[in-house]
Amino acid sequence: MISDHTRKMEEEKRSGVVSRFLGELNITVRRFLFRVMSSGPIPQHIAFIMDGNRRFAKKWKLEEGAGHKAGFLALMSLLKYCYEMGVKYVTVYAFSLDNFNRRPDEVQYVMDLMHEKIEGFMKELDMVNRYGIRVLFIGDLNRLYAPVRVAAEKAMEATAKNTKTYLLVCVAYTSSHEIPRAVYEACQERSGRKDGKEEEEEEEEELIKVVDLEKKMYMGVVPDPDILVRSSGETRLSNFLLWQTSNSLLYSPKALWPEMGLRHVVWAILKYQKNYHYFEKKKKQA
Amino acid sequence: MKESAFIMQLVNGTHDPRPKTTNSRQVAEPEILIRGYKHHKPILSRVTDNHNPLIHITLNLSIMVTFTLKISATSMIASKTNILSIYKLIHKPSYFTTNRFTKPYSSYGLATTKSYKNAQSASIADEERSMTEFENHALRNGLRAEAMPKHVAMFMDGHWKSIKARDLPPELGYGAGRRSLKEIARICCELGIRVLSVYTNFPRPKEEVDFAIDMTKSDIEELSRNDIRVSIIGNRNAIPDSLLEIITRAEESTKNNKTLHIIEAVNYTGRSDIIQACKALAGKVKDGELHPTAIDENVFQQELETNCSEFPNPDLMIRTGGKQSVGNFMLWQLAYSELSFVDKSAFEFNSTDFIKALQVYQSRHRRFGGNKI
Repeated sequence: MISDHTRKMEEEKRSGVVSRFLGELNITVRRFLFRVMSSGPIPQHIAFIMDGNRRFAKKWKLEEGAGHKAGFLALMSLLKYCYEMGVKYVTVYAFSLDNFNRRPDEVQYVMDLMHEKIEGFMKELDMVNRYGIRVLFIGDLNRLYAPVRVAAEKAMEATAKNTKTYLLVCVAYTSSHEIPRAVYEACQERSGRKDGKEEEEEEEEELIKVVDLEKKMYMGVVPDPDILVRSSGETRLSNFLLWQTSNSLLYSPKALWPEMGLRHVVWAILKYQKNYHYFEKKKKQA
Repeated sequence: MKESAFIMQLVNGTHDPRPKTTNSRQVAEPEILIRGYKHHKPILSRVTDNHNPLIHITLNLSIMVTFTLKISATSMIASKTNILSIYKLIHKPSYFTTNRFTKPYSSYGLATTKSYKNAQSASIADEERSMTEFENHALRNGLRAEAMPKHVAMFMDGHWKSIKARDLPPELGYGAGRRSLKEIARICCELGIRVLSVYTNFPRPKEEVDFAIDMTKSDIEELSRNDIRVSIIGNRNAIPDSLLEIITRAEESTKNNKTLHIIEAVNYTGRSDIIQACKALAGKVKDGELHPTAIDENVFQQELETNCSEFPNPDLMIRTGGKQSVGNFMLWQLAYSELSFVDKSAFEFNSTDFIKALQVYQSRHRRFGGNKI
């Protein structure tokens, strides 16, 4: 089980007796909490918009890039909680195509941070493979800086065999880029197939079905998100997963992204459980 | 020459507004320059006193070029800061022009936000005429006129809870819904909100159609009196032909009304909108009108059903009924909209709730993914 692995990992880190005891207590309390919550339906797919890093840095008077670093730490702990909880797919909005409009030094900093973290991730590949996490990078990867793109592709290849849990990182992604691209790909495929089929079945071939479109989207490999969590209290989608979140619960805690913790995940899942029947009904209608 | 030096100073941003030689002409300069491109004649008439056509032509060209093309960033920024500061001294800022001055053009090069920013109003005359009216209404309600959303989308949900709870027959329920809609439309006209989209997701499409037809049939004269334009988006296959005729007649007769544009969504879902846009694009590609590589966001947006309006993308979406989700309404268009969820049901939602939602909208900070503006 993942929680056993977590315990082993945390044990390895701690040395003193008291800290080990507290660590054990922490894990046990969490396990108990998750077992209680599992009595209701657990969402399959949670999506996070990581908003508020810069505001966090300003609030605590840190230097400019430290907010993003703190955000990465928060991301790791939230991933841990989600996987312990039993959530199979986690999507994260790391970088938008619009974020390329920010100051170049900030963009460079974020790209360097991503590169560094992916390299760090590659070093611990055997542990990742033990947990069975598959990492996918979603978006227009050609727009990324070359070293990041190369590292991302290597990471995707290395974890391609894992199927237990999925982590989808959206970089250089906007929904309004993804949807026209899916149309383009579907058209290409349709015209490619048509050349082979000549004039038979022309009527059917003309229509592009929803199924084709969803297959061609970047996010076609995973089901739609059940919950979309946006930190820092803003309630907007910012061009993230517009197609896929049509029937998902939106939750906007006021905490900035580096301040997000276990209680927000728990609260989001409780909200989902409260509205479970409504969303199931909506999904059946669609 | 003094005049040419003055003009070059103004263009390069080192203009000193204090009058130097002749008082009356110098003081009048800033006001005229800022008012609009069409008002730069007095400068030229002053320049032509020189009786030198060459200077007249070059100065004319330089003014036109700097104002219309905004060549260099430095002069743009310098002219912006000067003009903005002088403008603030003379005029109250209006919600059309401050946007033009405070948002730098260069920041939206790469991304998709260009198609999402609601374009500024084309006619300057309209804005001058109604600026004070809108401001008065806005200030009376505690809102700022310059930060008013151009397009508000209303998702009216929560019908069934209230109808069942109150044991009302559906006709009465619809009547209450119609009344609250009319009130909200009236407020929009007063405040200067240009487009109002309405979506009522009744469980069965027939009821939606009935509701929409009710609205349009009885209110056509009232709509044209208030200068309101109506259009209906959604899948028209479910509507019988007679009603379809009424709808098209209403749309045609109110096509030229400019104050408020009400978009009713009947039998509409965001996904079906995107799919029909995809089909239209695929059809165009098949016919050879469009090359597949030319498909991008702007092309796509033209195919959606909301392209009938000037401001297709909502700035604010209000959902009544308490459920916190987008609910398959206008998926593409809501990419950068602020979402507001209200716990009341659609019939209890009245004008004070609407004003409160607008106040919350105005307190939010919209960045569109870029830097803080």
